[in-house]
Amino acid sequence: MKRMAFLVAAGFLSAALVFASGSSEGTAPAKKGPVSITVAINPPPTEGSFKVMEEIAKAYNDSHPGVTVQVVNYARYEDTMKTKMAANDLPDLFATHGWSVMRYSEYLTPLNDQSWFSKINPTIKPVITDKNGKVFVLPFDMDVAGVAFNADVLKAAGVDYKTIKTWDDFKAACAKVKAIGKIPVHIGGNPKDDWTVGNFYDWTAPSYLITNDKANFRSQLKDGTFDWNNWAPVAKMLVDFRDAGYLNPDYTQGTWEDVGKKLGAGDVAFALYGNYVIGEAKRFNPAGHFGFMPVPAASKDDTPTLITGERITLGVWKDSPVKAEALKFLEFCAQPENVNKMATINGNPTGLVGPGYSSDLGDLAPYFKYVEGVRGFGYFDREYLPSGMWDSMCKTGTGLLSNTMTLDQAIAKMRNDYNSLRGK
Amino acid sequence: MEKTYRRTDVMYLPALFLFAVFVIFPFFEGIRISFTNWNGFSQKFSYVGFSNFKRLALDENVRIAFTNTLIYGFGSTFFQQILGLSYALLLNMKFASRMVARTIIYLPVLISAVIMGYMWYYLVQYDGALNEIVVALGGSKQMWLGSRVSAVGTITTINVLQFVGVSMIIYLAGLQGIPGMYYEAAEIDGAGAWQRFVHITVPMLYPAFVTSITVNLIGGLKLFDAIMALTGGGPGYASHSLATLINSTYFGSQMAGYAAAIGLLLFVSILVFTVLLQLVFKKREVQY
Repeated sequence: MKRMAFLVAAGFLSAALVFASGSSEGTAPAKKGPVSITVAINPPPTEGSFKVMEEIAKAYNDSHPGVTVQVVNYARYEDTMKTKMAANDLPDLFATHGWSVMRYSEYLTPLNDQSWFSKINPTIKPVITDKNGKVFVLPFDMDVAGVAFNADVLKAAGVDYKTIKTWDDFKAACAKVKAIGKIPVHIGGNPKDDWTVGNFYDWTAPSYLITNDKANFRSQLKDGTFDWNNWAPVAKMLVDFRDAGYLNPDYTQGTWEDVGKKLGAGDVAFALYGNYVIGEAKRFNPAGHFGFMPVPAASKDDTPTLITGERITLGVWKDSPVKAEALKFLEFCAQPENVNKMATINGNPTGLVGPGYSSDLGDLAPYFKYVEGVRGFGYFDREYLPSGMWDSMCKTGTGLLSNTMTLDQAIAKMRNDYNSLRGK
Repeated sequence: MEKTYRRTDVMYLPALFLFAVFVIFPFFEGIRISFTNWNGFSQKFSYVGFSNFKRLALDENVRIAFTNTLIYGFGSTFFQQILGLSYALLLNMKFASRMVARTIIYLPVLISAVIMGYMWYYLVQYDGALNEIVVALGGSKQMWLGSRVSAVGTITTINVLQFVGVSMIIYLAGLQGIPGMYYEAAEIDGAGAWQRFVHITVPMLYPAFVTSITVNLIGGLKLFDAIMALTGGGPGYASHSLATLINSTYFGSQMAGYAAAIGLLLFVSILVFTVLLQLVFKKREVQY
């Protein structure tokens, strides 16, 4: 009797330990009842785009009794999503932050048959279409990015952004900003926010490597024959900016929050980010005047360009147990009022076009007018580098800034990772 | 008696099951993955033989991380033993607030390493309290985490301060186990304080040395949370340990196979150091 009791206790304990550690996230409800849909997006809960997504979810929940849409963010979104992909256990809908084709398409359901498919903005469509013509995400908006600036600081420094066509012009403008005691460029730079440095490269690398129609490395980067010694001017530019005193003084410890705060406060002139940085600056200074200009060219025989790509996009997990309901929610998201709201908060054009679709570009409208007709190129690392090299750009960038890596070491690291990720 | 032993064996089953699931299986799975080019999230991958290990042998960043790992392990352990023994000797004396002092020194051990790391991060960051003090004293702001030397030094210091309480407790227990008659006899024979320390305290504390050094060394070699909270392994790759480099290689660089190979290097390193430690510190308990 006592022996049986022991066996039962041991078995119960084992079972309790196994089943107590499980999570039912993503599993189908056992019987009919309220449907729960999880939407995961990468902007943190403090950002406007997260709040807009919550508003959209609330509106859907109010109009669809029996369905609960929950918007979530993961602290380390990309890392968490990679773990979830490995386990094939993903949220019902999730944001792809520029990687809908290159990284997430294996886990997303094609959306070519959706009613809103024909309304996709032609500018963003090539970026989110794979080589077989499949589209995997709904684009709320699209990044049309250049160099953001605080217009008040430029005015005080006597800088006219329309005269900045090359990086030499940009450096001259930086010198003027520095002369009035302001920080020309806030790069962030903290190793824990090293994406801020990777972003600097995404902005500057195209002008040296891909935008010049007469001399570029577009095909070499894509077919694996790129000579990484050509990365030197891009990497050196970062070091030159540091040595000239054009970066924030805490260039190895500045955070992303510092960028928005100081741009908003009028301590910084330029920030090499998408227009979402203006949204951040306005959080700290709603009355400030901000704008953006095309990214300068590396030489006089080239022209300034813009960076285009995914901003807020949503795809549906192909194995979601509530896929039908998730697609209905996505259809709701594609309504003009929801698309417009999201695009407006990000200061971007809408990802869908047609009657009813337009974002209120507010103070940025004149700047969008100014850049009409300017050539756009996709995000450099997404289009020209294998997935995984964004980290290489970030780490080698912070390494150079802090002098913990030499230029040769940075180039060697980029080369080795490029070859390794291409399977060489 | 036999029936009692069989009942007791059955109660091991849950722990054995968990050990198998969370330690044994991942260990062998990690070995398997180290021979692949898996990116960590795709359902597709290929076996690539020993290429990950060849790369590991030539990778300068692995050398940097390995060196840092030794600094975090041996460097932290060295200072923890000196400080820990000093605290134990002091707090083994009888005075009014010694229990309070022991608690205060041990309390950081109970705090999560991540939280400790973040607390210190806000102190040492560029606009943090430490730089405010420096400026108030007439100096200029420093980037305490902005170079390899300062970043590794700061992380090691914080690790020492957080876990010195572990050494203190171990040495306190050891000190309290030394019979007082040995000190009395030595005093009668005219031995001074230093002689009593060298010839009685140190030999009798030998088991405590072994325990404290082993525990602290393994903890230092595996250091992860504090590094992630303070520097993320940066700037660049400057303050990475092998543990954080594995994390960065897996999630950042999307090279899970290569990360698994680095993981094997970490496992073998800790195993070798632990075995060497046991060989060096052969049990030499002093018996009187």
